[in-house]
Amino acid sequence: MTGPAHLPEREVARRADALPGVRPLRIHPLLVPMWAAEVTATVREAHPYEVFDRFLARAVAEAGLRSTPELAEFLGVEPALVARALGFLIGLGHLERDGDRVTLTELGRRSVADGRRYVLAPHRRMVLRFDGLDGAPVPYGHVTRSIWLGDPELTLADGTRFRVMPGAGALPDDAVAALLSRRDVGDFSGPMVPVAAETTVVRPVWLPVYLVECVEEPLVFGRAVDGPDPYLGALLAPWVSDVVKGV
Amino acid sequence: MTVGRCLWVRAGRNYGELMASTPVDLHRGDRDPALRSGGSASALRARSRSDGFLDALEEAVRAGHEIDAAERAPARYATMTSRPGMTRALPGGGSLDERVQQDAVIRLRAGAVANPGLLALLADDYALLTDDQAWPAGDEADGAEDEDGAGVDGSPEPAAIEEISPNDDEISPQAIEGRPAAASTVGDGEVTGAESGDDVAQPEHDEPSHEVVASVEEAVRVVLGAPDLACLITPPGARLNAVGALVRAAAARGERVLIAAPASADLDALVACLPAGPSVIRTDRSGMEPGTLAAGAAVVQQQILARSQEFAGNLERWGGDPSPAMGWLCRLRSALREAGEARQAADEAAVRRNAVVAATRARLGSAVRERKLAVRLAARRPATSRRWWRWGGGAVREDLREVLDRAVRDYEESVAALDAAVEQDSAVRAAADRAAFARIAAERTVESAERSALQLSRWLTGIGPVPAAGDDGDLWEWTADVAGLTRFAERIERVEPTLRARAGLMREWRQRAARPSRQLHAELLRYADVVATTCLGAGRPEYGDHEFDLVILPDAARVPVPVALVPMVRARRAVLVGEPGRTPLRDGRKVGEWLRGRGRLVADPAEVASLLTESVLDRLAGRAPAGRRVRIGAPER
Repeated sequence: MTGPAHLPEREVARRADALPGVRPLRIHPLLVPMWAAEVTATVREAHPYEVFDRFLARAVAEAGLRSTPELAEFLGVEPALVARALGFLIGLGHLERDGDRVTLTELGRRSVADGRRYVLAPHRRMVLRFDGLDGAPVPYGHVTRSIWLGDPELTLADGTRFRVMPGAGALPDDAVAALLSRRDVGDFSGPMVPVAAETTVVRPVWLPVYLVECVEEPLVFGRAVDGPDPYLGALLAPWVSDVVKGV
Repeated sequence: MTVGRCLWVRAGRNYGELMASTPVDLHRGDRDPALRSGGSASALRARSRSDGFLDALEEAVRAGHEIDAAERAPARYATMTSRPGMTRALPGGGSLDERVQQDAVIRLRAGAVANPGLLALLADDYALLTDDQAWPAGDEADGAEDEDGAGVDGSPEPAAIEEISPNDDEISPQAIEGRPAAASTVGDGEVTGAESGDDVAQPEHDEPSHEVVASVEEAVRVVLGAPDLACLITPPGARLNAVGALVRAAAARGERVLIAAPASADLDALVACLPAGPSVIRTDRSGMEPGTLAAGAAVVQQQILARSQEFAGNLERWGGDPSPAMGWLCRLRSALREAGEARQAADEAAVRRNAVVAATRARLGSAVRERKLAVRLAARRPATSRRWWRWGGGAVREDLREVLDRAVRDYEESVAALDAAVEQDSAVRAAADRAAFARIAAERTVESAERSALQLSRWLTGIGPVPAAGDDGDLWEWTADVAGLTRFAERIERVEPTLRARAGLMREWRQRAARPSRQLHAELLRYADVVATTCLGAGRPEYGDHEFDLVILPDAARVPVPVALVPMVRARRAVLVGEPGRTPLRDGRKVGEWLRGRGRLVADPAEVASLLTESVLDRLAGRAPAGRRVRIGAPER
């Protein structure tokens, strides 16, 4: 670990006090149970289009041109060049040949729509994170900007001791599959978007947070957001009363 | 200095037996469970032979760089690149030349090469070859092995496993002499090596008896039929012609060709002799010289702008917001709407005219009605006075007939008079005029719609294939009536978005082509029919992932294996062109000094020396079987 796992409690207290309309009552340092699912995935990598491949794919997608002679005539280039460029796109899985005509695959359609040349790369190892309360995927920003603990123990230098939050459940068997079926899977996986994945290991991890009990709604401070974290706030909202009672 | 024991494994001559017991696997041995667990003897020999060769390659690359640096003068193959900056030192140590060669060795070691049989062929590792890749050393290669155990190149065949244990001071002579086609030590015209008693043996370049002598066309056909590698032996005068024929034949097969010459200057004559047709890109030169990437990109851009000009002009009518075509489509739609309204107005006018005519006939038709009654009465009279008819006789009958005829004539005249009167009636004439005008107006709106349809039909030409309209109807077929024109308008509406997108794409494409861009370079390189460069230039990092169907080394007798490897790892097949048996590529004495100075080597020193002094053509041509070594014309004696 290169830095402290979390801010000192006094810093969180100072920040909570500084918020307008917020009257803090008590601060609870907590370790939120999470899941780290290590998967071997086929990921969709985004590359920038070059010139020919971009216009060729668009000509197929938008201009209704399907064969090598049609495309060569339209673009004003040699048919051999078009044939090779089509072969390249077919190799990437963006086009498929139907006799002497080509059609876009789903990957090709998505690439044209997003203006990015997606390439499927198999056998990539990646870690997907899910919360241990609902089994829902953790947003990528929180994945990258948080400190994840392998053990449910954390005591800061100032003596602040984090305790494990109750309410952890097992990760649903279909959690990874459900994540992959979401259209916004990239919001949780980052730039490497998995399209198929095989889970190899699922291990528990813990996320240190401060739950600030207030006269008003409680606030949650993590490391990913500079201020009250709305994602963690919504995640912990159903469990606040249990946490408060447990003190 | 303590020198570790170096185990040099020579594969036995019974390659068929080795292949039968050894799976073809170009991956590293550590992935092979059989090897990890001890494995079979043949698998172990296969692994050791290839790994030994790869170790020697790495040492040879390092040695070449250090010898050149020590000499402070370019060695013969160090002049192979004339590109400025190719020999500059890099921050991580070594030169770009060295890095490029190391990268090729790494690729070969990792199996990340386009030619899966390359390692086995270069390493003389028959255990790694499949049946169709094997270069048989026995029956097929006539005379390849004689009774005293000489190899295909005439070199003595050692025992199956030979151990080399160099001591601190010198490299074992046996280690070097035992190698096939061992390096000699001739440099700059000075005869050394075996003659001078140095430690590197003189190579033997006997003409193999399994060589095929053929015409250029036949030779090209044979070497292009080789699945992995072939040697085309040509006298210097026939080399350019042979390379041109190779390129022509490969291009006709739709193959991408990489021509890798020893030096940039060699490419000038080569490229000039290449056939017209295939696109040729030279990457050994920059700037706007003919054939360079920048010049090629400029040519392609000009070609795009010129060829697509008419297309773009035609498509402009479908582009824009709103487009001229959409304007005509709106006119067509509007005309069809007006035609419908005019047709309805004409129908209503006709109905009104008929009503006016009927009313007028009723108003003016009293005389006709009277005459009609008279006719009816005249016709009825004979039926009601039948007795009188019998008494009256013929005269009366004639009178009655005359009365009836007169009544009929009067009636007919009154009808004609009525028709004339109705026709002349002002109300009728006004109604008829209105109906006629309405009909003409309807016809004119149809004609207007037809003109719009004709215009749109004309604009459908010269814009590429017209997209399917989706109703199985042909966009070009329409009839000049409201129903036909309506169907045509509906089809145009369905294809108009595609044509508008096509026009917009064409506009973007031409704007892109009008801008000078380095972005095209990588793609031009990827899609060119022929890429011509120096051997080391083929390893430039920006072109590292490009693969070719065929690599031609037009002067392979001047290229050592570490340098030849750079283009060869990027192509599925290789053709080595040249005349083997030239003088060694590097001074063998200096190589020997380097080897002694190096002391402890991981690799076989004889193999390293061979890789430094021997050309790739000499290494491979000597043991190429029939069908893989073809000579154009009779050998010089």
